Amino acid sequence: MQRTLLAFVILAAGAARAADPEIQFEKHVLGNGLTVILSEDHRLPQVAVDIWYHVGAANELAGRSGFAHLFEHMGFSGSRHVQPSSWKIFEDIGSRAGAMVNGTTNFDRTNFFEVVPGAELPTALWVEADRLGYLLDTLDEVKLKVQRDVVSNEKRQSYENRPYGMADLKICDVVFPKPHPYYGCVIGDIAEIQAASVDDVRNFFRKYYGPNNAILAIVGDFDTPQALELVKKYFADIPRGPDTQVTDIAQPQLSSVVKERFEDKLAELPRYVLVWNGVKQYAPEEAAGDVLAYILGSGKTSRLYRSLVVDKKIASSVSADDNTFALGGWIEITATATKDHTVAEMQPSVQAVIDDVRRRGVTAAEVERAKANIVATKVRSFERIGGFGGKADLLANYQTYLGDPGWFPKDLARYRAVTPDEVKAFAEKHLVDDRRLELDVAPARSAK
Amino acid sequence: MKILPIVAGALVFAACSGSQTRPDGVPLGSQPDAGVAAPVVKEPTPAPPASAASRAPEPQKPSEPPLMPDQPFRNGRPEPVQRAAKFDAPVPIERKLKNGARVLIVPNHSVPLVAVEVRLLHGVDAVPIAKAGLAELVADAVLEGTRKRSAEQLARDIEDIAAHLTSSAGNESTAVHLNCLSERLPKGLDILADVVTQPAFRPADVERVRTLRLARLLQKQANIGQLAADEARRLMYGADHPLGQPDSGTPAIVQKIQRREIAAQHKAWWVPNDSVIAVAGDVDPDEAMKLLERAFASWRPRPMPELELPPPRPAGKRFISLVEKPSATQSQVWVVGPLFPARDPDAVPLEIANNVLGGVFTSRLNLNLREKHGYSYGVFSALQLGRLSGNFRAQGGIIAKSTVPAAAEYEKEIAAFASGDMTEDELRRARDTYIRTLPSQLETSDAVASAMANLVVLGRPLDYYKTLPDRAQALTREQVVDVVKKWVKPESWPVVIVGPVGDARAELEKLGFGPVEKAAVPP
Repeated sequence: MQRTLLAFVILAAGAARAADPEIQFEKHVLGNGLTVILSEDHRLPQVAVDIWYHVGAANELAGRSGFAHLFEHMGFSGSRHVQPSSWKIFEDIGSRAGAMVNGTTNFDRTNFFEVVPGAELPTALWVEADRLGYLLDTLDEVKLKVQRDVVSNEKRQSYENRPYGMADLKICDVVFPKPHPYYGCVIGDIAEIQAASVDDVRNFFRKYYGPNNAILAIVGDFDTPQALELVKKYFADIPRGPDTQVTDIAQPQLSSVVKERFEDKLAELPRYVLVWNGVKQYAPEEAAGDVLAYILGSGKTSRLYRSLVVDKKIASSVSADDNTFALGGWIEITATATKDHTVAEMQPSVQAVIDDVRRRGVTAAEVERAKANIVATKVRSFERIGGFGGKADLLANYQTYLGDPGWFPKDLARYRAVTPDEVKAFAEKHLVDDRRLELDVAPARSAK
Repeated sequence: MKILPIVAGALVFAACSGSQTRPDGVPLGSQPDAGVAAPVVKEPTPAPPASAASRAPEPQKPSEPPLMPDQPFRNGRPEPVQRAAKFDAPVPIERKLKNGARVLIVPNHSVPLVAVEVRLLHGVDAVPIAKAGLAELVADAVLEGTRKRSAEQLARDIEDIAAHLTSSAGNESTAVHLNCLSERLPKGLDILADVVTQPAFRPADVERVRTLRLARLLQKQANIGQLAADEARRLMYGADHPLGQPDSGTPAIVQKIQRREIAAQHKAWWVPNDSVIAVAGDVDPDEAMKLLERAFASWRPRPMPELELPPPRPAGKRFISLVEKPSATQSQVWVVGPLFPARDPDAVPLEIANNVLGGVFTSRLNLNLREKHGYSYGVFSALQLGRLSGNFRAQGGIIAKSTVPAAAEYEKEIAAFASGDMTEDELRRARDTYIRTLPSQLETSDAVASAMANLVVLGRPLDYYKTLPDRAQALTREQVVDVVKKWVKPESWPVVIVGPVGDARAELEKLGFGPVEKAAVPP
């Protein structure tokens, strides 16, 4: 059945600076609701195909933490026509699993991507359409069991067997306590992963994996009319799924100081972590929060580095991050000691940096430096068509959360508008002393 | 800054063992000889496997009608479409500075960024074994202040123009790598040249560098992949060779290295007559030369010390070198063997052949160890080819209890590969991957600058990448198999195991890989 194509074309526009790169793209919406973004880039004979589903850990049911990510793994286990797996297919046509073919899940969205030779665009679309149209046809308990174990082992590998990994997971659990779906930090709880059933997978798929909940970004060496025809050929017949509503849950707020102490048998140096409630992504305050985090903890000019690493010589690394997601975020400061130094020594120095930024604010030079680096980081993402964080991700990200793939100039503009006063106000409002998480990670004294 | 820590991927990247790793375990990049400071493609370490030990339930039939009717056009992989574009790999424009430094330029105006890499043509190789770690300390210390810029001023100048400036020492070269917006290139080059030619090595800055390096060496003790890499170096070069020393030295040595030794090492080896400067990105070649001449005007050629490097002394016998690590919950199992320098004509056929054995996710080693047996999170093999020598390694993280049977499967796969067992279809696939992933490896200015500098380090011709696809295409199965048989010699290649082996040691003895010897790990 041929569907009518509802097409509207938008060209990237906006008041950009002369040196800012631009992305030319077309956006189309198929009759079944699939949003397609096409952006030709002929530097290399390669094409990036990147499909974002607006579903993540935020959509997990109680007792099923880790499920969105488990589901992503099921997406790589083959579908009716794609056998035995998409890994095999893509390595057959000269791509490579890892940086060029992969998938990721976070709190709010899931994506599958591949970078393939331009001539192989049909195969990439065929695989992605089969994943969307025919995944359940070959789903069974055997496949699910394999991936439940794979994901359980991934948790062991990436968190339980990594220095400071378990402390990182603690942050989500305190900032987003049950029943908030961010609890579990996407990777989830192994017992809950193991409890996932085939019916859970089917229900999740039917609810969230419809073309109307997907953004397909294609960037690279292709011919736009031909690519659009191919997209229609493989995707237009896939029926629309139910309308999904973006979950909106109030962000839980810390009401006191929460102190946690960990023994970490893999860590060699003590670490001190401070966490505060933060803001949602694209909230008006977000840009000021990012600038503040840069000033506090990015690079050798940052205040924490100058104080703890250079002046007092008690830390070997420091960082500050403004983490923002659709349902909320957190601000995090981390300081890892040098040999023979302690959390107790670092704590007052970290506090002094926070006190100072709240009381006296930041300088115009610091703000300009932070803005320049944040903007440059975004410009650097233009160098790659796809993979982790290339142009395809950039377009799909803006479309998923803002409904506008061409939001890049506005994104730069909101950072360029940040003032020192806004940064100080952000620090005063969010970096409070009486509502925060304080983690003290101590190396376990056992046989190494 | 956004870091998105909360992303779970289908295939998780892990640090290439032997690469620099942040205290939190995030890989920073591989050795300069493989492309310093560039976001190079890392080996994918796949997600963990199914546990083979668990009992699988009976397969179930899907219990309900499919979502979509079948459509015959979806059967089978589609035909490719016609695309005219053939990858035109960059061949750099070659120039020379007045001071003798070679300059390679690859203009590309698509994004307003430029990468510039100064590559000194010596690194760890030029460090006496009693000073192991010195080359890395020099690379760290040049970024901590120059005669006219304090450490703080230097950091500010770099960040004010939103540049990235990194420095690191590899086996046979040392790289200082700049990435900046093209409109800030004059300032960026001024800083780069200052760092390369006028570092101050102030005592307080040197002490900070030492402290941070010691912290990293301490954290390394928890990283069994890095410990395996160190043991592999020792087995491939010998304990009396500069390249046989632990990566970045040992705490005992780093503690004692003097500030004046750092300055002397820099003065001796960071010279224009033993360097190449690679420029890639949004810049005009003549303009680049003008800026480089100005920035590096004070960098004078100097005679260099004689370097008498002993030949590598690879172990040359099959045995198991064991590093017992009781606190680990995985083990690292590596098989390592000596090969040849990068210039050897056997390099391309063996690199292609390696894609059959362990170069990619669906290679034999990974399909066996991960997919079939569930012993591993991923097993890969790679060639590491340098200017004077080269090595092979197969490596992977193994679930601790499966260490012994996993080692036996490595052996099975490598032995079959060594015998020349390889179908035409496997070769086609291996070759396609080799040729068709090349564009993505040369996508960014950072990657191109590092790759161009590397051509000089390795003694490869400047049109190496341009001619590579045709050279790969021309190889026959017989030629490839002959090269494999000539070089892949598992019967004389040692096995490195790092992990909580404990009582399983007796089982290892029974594998027939020769004796199990406790590795002589330096303090």
